[in-house]
Amino acid sequence: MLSDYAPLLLLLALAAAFVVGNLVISEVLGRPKPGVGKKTVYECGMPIRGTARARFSVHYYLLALLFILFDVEAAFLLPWAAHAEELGKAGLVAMGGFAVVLVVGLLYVMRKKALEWDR
Amino acid sequence: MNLLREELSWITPELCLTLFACVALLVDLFVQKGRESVMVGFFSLMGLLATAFFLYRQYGVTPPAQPVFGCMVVDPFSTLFKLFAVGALAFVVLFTMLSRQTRPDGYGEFYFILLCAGLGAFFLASTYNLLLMYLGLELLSIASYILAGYAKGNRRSGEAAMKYVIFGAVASGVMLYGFTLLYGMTGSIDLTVIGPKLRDQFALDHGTIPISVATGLCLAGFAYKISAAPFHFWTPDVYEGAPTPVTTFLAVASKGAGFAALLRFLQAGFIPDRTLGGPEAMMGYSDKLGTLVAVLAALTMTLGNLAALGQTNLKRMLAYSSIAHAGYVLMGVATMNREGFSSVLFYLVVYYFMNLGAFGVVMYYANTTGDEQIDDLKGLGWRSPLVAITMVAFLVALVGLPPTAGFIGKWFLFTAAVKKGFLWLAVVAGINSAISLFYYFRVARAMWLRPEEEAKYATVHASPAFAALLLVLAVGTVWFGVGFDSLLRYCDYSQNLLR
Repeated sequence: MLSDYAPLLLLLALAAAFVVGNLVISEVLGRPKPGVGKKTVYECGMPIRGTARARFSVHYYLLALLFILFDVEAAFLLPWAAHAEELGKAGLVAMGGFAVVLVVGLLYVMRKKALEWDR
Repeated sequence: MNLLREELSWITPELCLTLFACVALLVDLFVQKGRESVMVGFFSLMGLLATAFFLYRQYGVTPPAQPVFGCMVVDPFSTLFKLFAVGALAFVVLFTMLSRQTRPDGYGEFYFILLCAGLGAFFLASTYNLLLMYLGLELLSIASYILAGYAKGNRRSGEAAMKYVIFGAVASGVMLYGFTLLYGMTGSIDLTVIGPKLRDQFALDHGTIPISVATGLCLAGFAYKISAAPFHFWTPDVYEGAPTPVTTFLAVASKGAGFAALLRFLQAGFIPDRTLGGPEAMMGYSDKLGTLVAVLAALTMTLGNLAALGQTNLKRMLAYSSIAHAGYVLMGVATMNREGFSSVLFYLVVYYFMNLGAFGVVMYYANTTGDEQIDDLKGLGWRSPLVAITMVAFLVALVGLPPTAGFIGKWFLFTAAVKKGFLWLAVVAGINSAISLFYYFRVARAMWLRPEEEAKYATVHASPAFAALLLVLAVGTVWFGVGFDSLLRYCDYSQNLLR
């Protein structure tokens, strides 16, 4: 029973050996050449400007969240729209229920003034 | 279309609750300022009433084996727990409307989230489908996290929510892992299929290690929800920090739903049909599982009671007391038979009355004085006798003394345990009940056995509505101690349609 798991153990050992082996080999064979470039977070790509801890307006996050919500709504609506005729009345009712819930959400968002940027 | 309508007709209570949750949210948006609490609360209550009506109509109707595309189960068991949740929600809504402590920014959101949490409890109580069970658990938990942190700007409340989230995330992850293992072993997420498949596995006699790991992980998730040791650490902090109406919800509805799911899980998957006769290995495993739960029960009640002894804060003391009560109820679960399970149902109903009442008194007291210390209750008995008398009724029931319902409930739990052969567990529970007398009595002593002059606060009489609520709960607590026949019959009947 437990011997069934032997390949799993082997995989684990191989993975560990690969990681440790590579580290050891590069430590033994490599010649360290320190430099400014190597101390940056990423050795390639654009040069870094400022810290990553800049402050965003909280409205940005709010809008981003809402965007995702209504984006997913559209993603749900599309497959239904493509097969609306085959799905018939039942599909219409089901999608209607879904849309009603979303409209409630939209009303809520609007009444709470979450969509107004200048506040 | 007709098929859809028929399938949906089985979930009218859920649909109704969802609808009224949305209504509550909308009412808050369009009602003039200052009247929200009353209006939104009113609509929430209407929704709960309508839901209760639909539930009542479902009671006694024989549904297809598993309506709603095989996801839900509609049977007296689930109806009992749904009614239980609706009743608890109604009291929580009423408490919130009368409470001065929770002045949330948005009433609409509060009731909306509360009703959503109730919806989670509904799903948790009425499904054999592991995925839907998990979904219900998450809906209930996530709503509870938000509610626990609802007192904005209050450090304790924020702390409570944070601790609850972290603990809950880990516990539900562990439980989900248990579910995946069960799925891996049986190839199904339906407990009605998993049960027979597990029986086959036992018949092959491969050993019980994989099944034990899976069950253990699942049990951890349930133990967290019902705050049983060793997964109870979140309880005192969350109960103390959360607004009192929310604490009431957590202690009653959330815990009840957790027990519902636990009972269903054990009953469907792990209790061999004694009449059909399962494989020997499965019988043995079921008994071992029972013993494990029994040990957990003993641990839970002892820890809860010993920790409650040293508490000075009333809410915190009740939190530990609720842990202890989870231990008592687990005693019935440990029997792994029908008699034990129906005693669990009975005790949960009783627990509903006495715990709602006790938390109600705490809320009245915290509202009028802004204080939750036990010692500061001094002289309350002379100043507001009605509240104090009802509190004594709840305390006596919590200890489990006659003539209250607490006694009868414990009596059934004890007999079930002894009949199953857990005499040691009954003895432990008896000792624990004796210990609990000390800390419950301390509250009664502070209220009554001190002269009126020592009272720390001036009298603020409970409003008539509040007094009526407390009286209803107190009458329920005492009534089920005497006229418990019909309730017992209903609890037993609820077990009927379960396999």
